[in-house]
Amino acid sequence: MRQENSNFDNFYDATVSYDPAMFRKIVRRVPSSRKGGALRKIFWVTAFIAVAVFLGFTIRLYLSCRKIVDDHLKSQTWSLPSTIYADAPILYQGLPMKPERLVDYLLRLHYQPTPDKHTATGQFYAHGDTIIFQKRVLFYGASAEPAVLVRFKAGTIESIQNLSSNEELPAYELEPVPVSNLFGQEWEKRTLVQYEQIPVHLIRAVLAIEDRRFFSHGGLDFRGILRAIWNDLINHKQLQGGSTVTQQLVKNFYLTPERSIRRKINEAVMAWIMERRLRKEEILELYLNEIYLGQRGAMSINGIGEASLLYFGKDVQHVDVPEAALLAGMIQAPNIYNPYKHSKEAKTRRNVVLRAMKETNVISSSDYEKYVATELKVKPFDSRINLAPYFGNIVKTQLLEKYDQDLIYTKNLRVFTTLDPDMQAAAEESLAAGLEQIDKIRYSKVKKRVEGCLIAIEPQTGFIKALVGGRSYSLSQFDRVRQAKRQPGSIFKPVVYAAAFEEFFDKQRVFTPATLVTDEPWTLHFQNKTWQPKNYDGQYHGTVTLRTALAQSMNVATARLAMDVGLNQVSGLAKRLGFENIKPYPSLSLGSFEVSPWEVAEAYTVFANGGVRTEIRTLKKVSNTNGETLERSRIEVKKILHPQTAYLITDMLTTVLSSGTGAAVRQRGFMRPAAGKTGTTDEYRDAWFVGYTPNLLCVVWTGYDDNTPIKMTGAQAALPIWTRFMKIATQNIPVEDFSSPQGVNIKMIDPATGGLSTENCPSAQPELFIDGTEPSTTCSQHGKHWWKLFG
Amino acid sequence: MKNTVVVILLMIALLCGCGKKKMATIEPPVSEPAEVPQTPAVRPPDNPAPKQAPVAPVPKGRMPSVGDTSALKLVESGVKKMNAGSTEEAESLFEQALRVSPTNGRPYYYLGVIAAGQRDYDRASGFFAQAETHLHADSFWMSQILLQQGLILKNQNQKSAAAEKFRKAVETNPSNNWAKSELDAITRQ
Repeated sequence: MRQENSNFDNFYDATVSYDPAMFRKIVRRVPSSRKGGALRKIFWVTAFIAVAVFLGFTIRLYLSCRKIVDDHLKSQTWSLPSTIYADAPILYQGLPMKPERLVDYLLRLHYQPTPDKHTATGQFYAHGDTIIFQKRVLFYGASAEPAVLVRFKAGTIESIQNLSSNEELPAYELEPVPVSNLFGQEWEKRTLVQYEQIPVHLIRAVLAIEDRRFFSHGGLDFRGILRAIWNDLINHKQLQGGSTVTQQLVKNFYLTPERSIRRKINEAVMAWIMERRLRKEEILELYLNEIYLGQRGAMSINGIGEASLLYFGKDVQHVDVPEAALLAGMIQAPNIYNPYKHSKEAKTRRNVVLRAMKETNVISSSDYEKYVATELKVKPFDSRINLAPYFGNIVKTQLLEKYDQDLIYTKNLRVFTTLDPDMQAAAEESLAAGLEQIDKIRYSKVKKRVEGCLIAIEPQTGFIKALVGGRSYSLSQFDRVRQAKRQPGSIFKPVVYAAAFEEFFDKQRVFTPATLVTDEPWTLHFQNKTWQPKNYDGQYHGTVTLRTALAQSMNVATARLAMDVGLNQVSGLAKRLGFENIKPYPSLSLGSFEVSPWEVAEAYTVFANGGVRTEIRTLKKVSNTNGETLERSRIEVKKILHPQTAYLITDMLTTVLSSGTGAAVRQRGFMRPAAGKTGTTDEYRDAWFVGYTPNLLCVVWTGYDDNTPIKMTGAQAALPIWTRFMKIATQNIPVEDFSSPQGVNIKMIDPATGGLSTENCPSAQPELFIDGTEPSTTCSQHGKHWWKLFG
Repeated sequence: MKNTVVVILLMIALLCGCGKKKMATIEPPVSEPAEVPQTPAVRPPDNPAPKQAPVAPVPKGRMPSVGDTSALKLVESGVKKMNAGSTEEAESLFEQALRVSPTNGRPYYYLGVIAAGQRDYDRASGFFAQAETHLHADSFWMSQILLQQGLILKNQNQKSAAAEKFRKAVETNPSNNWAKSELDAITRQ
């Protein structure tokens, strides 16, 4: 426990000495008494005026300083940027998870391991298949979170228990990972801490080196000032500050760093006023939250709370004595004593503080020896201050549309988003690796680096789980997911097939996956023009089923189908799916219009969600520092297709992965139930891949910003990125399969004729039908043997 | 003799259990998922099937999810909040439930009920469509979904379409008294 103030006074006072000789030099001047009366009068009048002017200035100075201090203390002290948080992972019974993964997550959030089962906030206890931890409170004044016990069994979570109430919890949301901050003009990062959270050895370390008589002076330490003057003038040592903690605080809050008498006077007056407004502990709390303690890229690190996280990866309450000494030592010159850049100087300075602590009897000699011998321990430097820059930019834009800038940049809002930090890391890594591979093939020919983007969403909620808008945010802030308008090519084809299946509900026109369509060279005359769609590989396949046509991404077959269904039907559905600027031209069926990857992702939620479109979301909730909710987003859904149509499309897109143009997905080892579609546009300008499982949908686009052909198909360029991402992203998600709706059935058909198969059909296969659309005739080529017609 | 009595008692208990019909309530009770598919029997390889026209597999319906138990508990808590008027908290719990088990239909159903209560019929219809996809194998829940869809149509003044939904709801679960009374009321008009 912390000592009383009087104890501080005793051991600090006992250690400080100063030379009283300086006082002997004070000269007293006595005015002459032999002057004339007139002269005396003039003297007194002048003296009176001088005193009055002095008093006037003093009062004015006092009043202006008081106003500044009072105004500042009344308002919020710091401009605190808002924090963007990732989505909080949910633990639940049956979730596939090993204890090590939860430990990793807690360590990433700087939770401290403890051997004690009675964990404090921000600590965890891990033993065998059990982990106990206590979540931090994210809002000021909120009551403490209860400790939670998680039991694991055979690689899954067996139970979650609230240790305060002993209640079993069905699910538990972990603390979210901070993604970035929303800075205005000032790039200052600060994690506020309360006086009670600060360990006593850190306070003592700071006072030992910065202000030993803090608890006894009234804001100004005259002995310290005299000592500084003595050193300046007599010993000609380097200029010493002699400023108390209160003066330093006042200087940081209200004044410029200039060295002038005027500023010093202001500083002294304000320090004196502040001491009368606040308790010592309050001043110290403000000071320790205010001090500058280094840089992390362009961002300045302020306050011991943030510095503890940056340098030691722990909350300030868990900082040990040598770490406390390092922080205290850095106050004087944070960049000179930066442990990452100047570890030798930092260690020397730390030891100076430890010696000061020993001198002031804060630590014993033996402890001093022990601490001085320890190595400087800092966590590995992490220069990334933004885990998802493109995503953060979208969030910032959305917030600026609704809230005042001042509120966003200075009032420390908590912005809870949908991002999954693990998936985001997987997305960045997968896109970077994939683009690197493309460059290996293409760079020597085009002399420029390929671009790409990736968006992954949870289809049932519309949550963006990962978003990468380009290969490097620092090189280009152009967000290709939202801002790039590219032709979708073949990834639009499922819309044509969906429009065909919907015809049954609207007009009783029957199209099924077994419907036959011709894939042969074809010329279409349309509005006095001719159009000749071609297949990418120049090959034509004759008569095929719709399932095969989609699986092999046949252009002519799809174009014919679109004309048969009706271009208005196709364009109408495309608009309902969210594609804008669609016109009913024949080439529409092959995706010859422009869309953003964002629009593609939103449109494909319809297939993944049984016919229901989900609006993409980035924000879950916005709260102020007290935890009051300013905004909460909700799932926005709209029914677009019959669930049977959506299921047929999903099923046909699973064939794309099993035996179609996307078969490389399976060859590359992604074996979960999934559906997907490749996309390649005219002259190979764009390469796409879009695919989904029941709980994750991902769109990948690759190409050049200036439309230079990439000369690779979607399967060659985008598919490897998609597969790599999905393999990593889904490794901790339970396997789910697509639910089939009512109103669909399976019949065995002969794919050559599209009819119901007989026992003689050589390649009969099951096919999915909407109830009422099944073929009524059997296969005409491999009919029953004549002798069986009689029984 | 003793064994015979035990067998008879067991049979009576079994018959009573089978015959017990669910009571219609305004909000369907939370129950264990009923759409767990049966594992098909596997034919031994040394016993080939006689030659006959190939038989198609049946659609797989909804597969159980590891998150079902937790999702149902979250739904249960959400229903309590919803009935207590805490709509936002309820929505939050239902959202959590469908994230834990995305193919479980119950959270979608209740999100639809809340949206319908807010007269946001487009949104409600979307949720009911998703609920339908995942719950169609359960006649009790399917009847409730049809009832809710009928109520939306009724509020949109599409009376014949609403009557059709109520009729289907009663057909699907004859003990859905609410659907019955709605059907009676709408056919009397």
